[in-house]
Amino acid sequence: MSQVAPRVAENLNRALHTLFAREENLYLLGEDLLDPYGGAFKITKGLSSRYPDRVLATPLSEGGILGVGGGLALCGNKVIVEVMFGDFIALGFDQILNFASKSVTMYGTEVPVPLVVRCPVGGNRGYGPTHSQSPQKHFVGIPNLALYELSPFHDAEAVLDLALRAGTPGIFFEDKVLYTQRMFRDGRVDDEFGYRLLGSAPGWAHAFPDGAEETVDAVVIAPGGLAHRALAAARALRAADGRSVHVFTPARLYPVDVEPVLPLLAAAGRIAVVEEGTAGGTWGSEVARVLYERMWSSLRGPVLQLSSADSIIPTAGHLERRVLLGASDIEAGLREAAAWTGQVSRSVATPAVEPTTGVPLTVPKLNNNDTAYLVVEWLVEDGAWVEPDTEIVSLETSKAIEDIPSPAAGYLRRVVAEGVELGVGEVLGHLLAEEVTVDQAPAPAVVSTNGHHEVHAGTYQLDRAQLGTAAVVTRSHREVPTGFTVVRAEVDGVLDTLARLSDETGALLGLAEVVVKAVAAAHQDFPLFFGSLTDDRTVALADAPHVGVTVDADGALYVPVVRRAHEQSLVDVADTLMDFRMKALNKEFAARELAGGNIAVSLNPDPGVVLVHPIVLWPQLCMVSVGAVGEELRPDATGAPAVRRVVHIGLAYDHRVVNGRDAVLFLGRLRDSLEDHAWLDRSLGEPVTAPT
Amino acid sequence: MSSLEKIVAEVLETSRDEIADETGPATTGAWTSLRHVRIIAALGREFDLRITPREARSCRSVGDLRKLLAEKGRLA
Repeated sequence: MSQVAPRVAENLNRALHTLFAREENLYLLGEDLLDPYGGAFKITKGLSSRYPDRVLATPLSEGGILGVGGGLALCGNKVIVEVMFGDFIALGFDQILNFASKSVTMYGTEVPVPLVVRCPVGGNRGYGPTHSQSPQKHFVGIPNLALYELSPFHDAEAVLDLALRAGTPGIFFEDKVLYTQRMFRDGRVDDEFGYRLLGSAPGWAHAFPDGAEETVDAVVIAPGGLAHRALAAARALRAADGRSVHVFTPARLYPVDVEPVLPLLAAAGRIAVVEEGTAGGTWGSEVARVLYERMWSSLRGPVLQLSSADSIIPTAGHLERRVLLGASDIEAGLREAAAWTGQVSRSVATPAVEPTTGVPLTVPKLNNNDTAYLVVEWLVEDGAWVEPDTEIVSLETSKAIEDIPSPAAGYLRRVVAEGVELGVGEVLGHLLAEEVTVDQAPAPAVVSTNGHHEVHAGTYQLDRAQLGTAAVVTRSHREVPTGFTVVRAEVDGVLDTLARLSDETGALLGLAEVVVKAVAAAHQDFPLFFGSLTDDRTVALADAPHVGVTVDADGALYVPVVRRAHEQSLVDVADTLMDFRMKALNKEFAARELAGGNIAVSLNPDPGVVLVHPIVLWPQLCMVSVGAVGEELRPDATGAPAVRRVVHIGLAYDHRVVNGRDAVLFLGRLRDSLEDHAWLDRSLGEPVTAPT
Repeated sequence: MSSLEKIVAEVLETSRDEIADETGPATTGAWTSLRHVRIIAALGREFDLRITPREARSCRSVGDLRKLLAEKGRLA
């Protein structure tokens, strides 16, 4: 292997030579592609000398070339057609739309049409309005037509081979500026970025900053022609803001297949799609449509779509640069969409030292409920030196106050004041390498807090806690199509046993503890109930039952999590629940105690409550509800009426995953656990489970 | 009527006459787990003391609460 990676044009030329050597029925048609000229961009150099019968120069008629190419492919050959400039493909549009693509399925039986149209596109070469366009969007959504794009990540032979074997016609767009660039290889883009390939080859390329493969602030989805510009923007955002921006490049543009990268996109939540064509009905908008369908709930904002200006493409270089999408446009677009320009900091404080160096201290994502948190208190003096992992600032979510550790060592330069509300990802301050003078700086202005409800004439402002609840229930109703089933359990026996065990242990044991244990015990046989949907057809299963339990204190609803509940004894669960209730009353929960549940139990013991229809806490799939103990007259063994104590146990479930019959079986298991209470004695001081 | 009975009656939203040493979650459905904690929290404020979760869950009646207060030097 040579030390220097081949240029993209060389890689493409070698790919064609390899394919011609391997495929005896492969033809190449196009204008001016015979040696010694070898095509306008020399991509076909050497081919006509070696394969004169199969590399054919044609008249200047794109319609004719594409018609002949489609016919050859229809007759069982493999065909590559070179369109000299992508702009000219408009002249062959009819042959692609109405002949080649339709021929696959319009004859009553499926007919392969292995035709690939190579299509140099894009500007930045000063070729003017009719030799610089990016016409990809005009071909999106045509049945039986696939679209591919040349990329510095993907070996051209693999992409062309895939296109020729697909059985349908395809267009291979080649951004002209790539031809002279070097291929990326061995997992390296440069000294700052690495990459890997995802999905079935050639699949997607995933480029990431060194040391930040698993940390992502935003993703830029870029076709091959935009890869360098997207990477340049990512470098700039890393250098100036410390942001981890990843770049994803697919070998095949259409049909859009995001499966291989969906988890990574979901982790990022903030996504931009960039393309050089003009806006309006584009490949980028098709990508956005798919992402909205597949990961609506994971997105932190709209998919940012960046295109070139709504203009013809000027020939003059300085004007062309103003029209075509560049790296600086991508950088600026991401900054604006993600509010990485520190708008809040500028509006509330003016740092004495411009924090252009050092490590930014940003608002982390603390839960799934809130999009913004309140800066309650700075725990470190402005200008003071802090070590890594030093708790540096307290943020208030709708449920808890969380102390945020320092991500690095440095001198703290605050840029926001206490009382400010900031969104996830916004800048709190910077950790600078050099000491700063803070007494020259105006003190950050204290902005009015909004932690409490305000009542004005005729209106009522919801407080932060209720806003958090509102976000949860709204998301639940938006995301989860629920079913609901209820069973009744007789609990005389279990209540008597609990009273006895309470006397024996000194612990206050109630139905809540029993239900938590019973739910946890069901994990082994009902794993789906503890899962979460990662996309429309994939359920991530949990390794252990982490049972959330509702605690409603002074109007604030919490769902702290009993972790690994199957391993806790009944008394341990009682202690845990008591601890939760006291923390709820004192508002002492840490965010970590409220996260990580994979099923939840809604406890409603207030007298008179018959049953409760709970929501499902997305992304969980199920929530169990338990009503208050009531009394019913039931015939005893002799047929005489007798008072029985009963509770109603409900289950709200995500009907996409769980069906009614399974819900009944699950509830039946819980009912059995309550009615067959012999297991309770065994579970007092050991992690014994409810009956399975 | 001591402060203990007064607090329990207020939290349970019942008459003080209904409160006896035996009163607890086993004798009245109104004594829910959350109200139990409210009683604990109210006692903590009234008598200026800290009651741990383990102490809280070990008290299952007014009598137990009285005993706990006595142990902490706050006779109710």
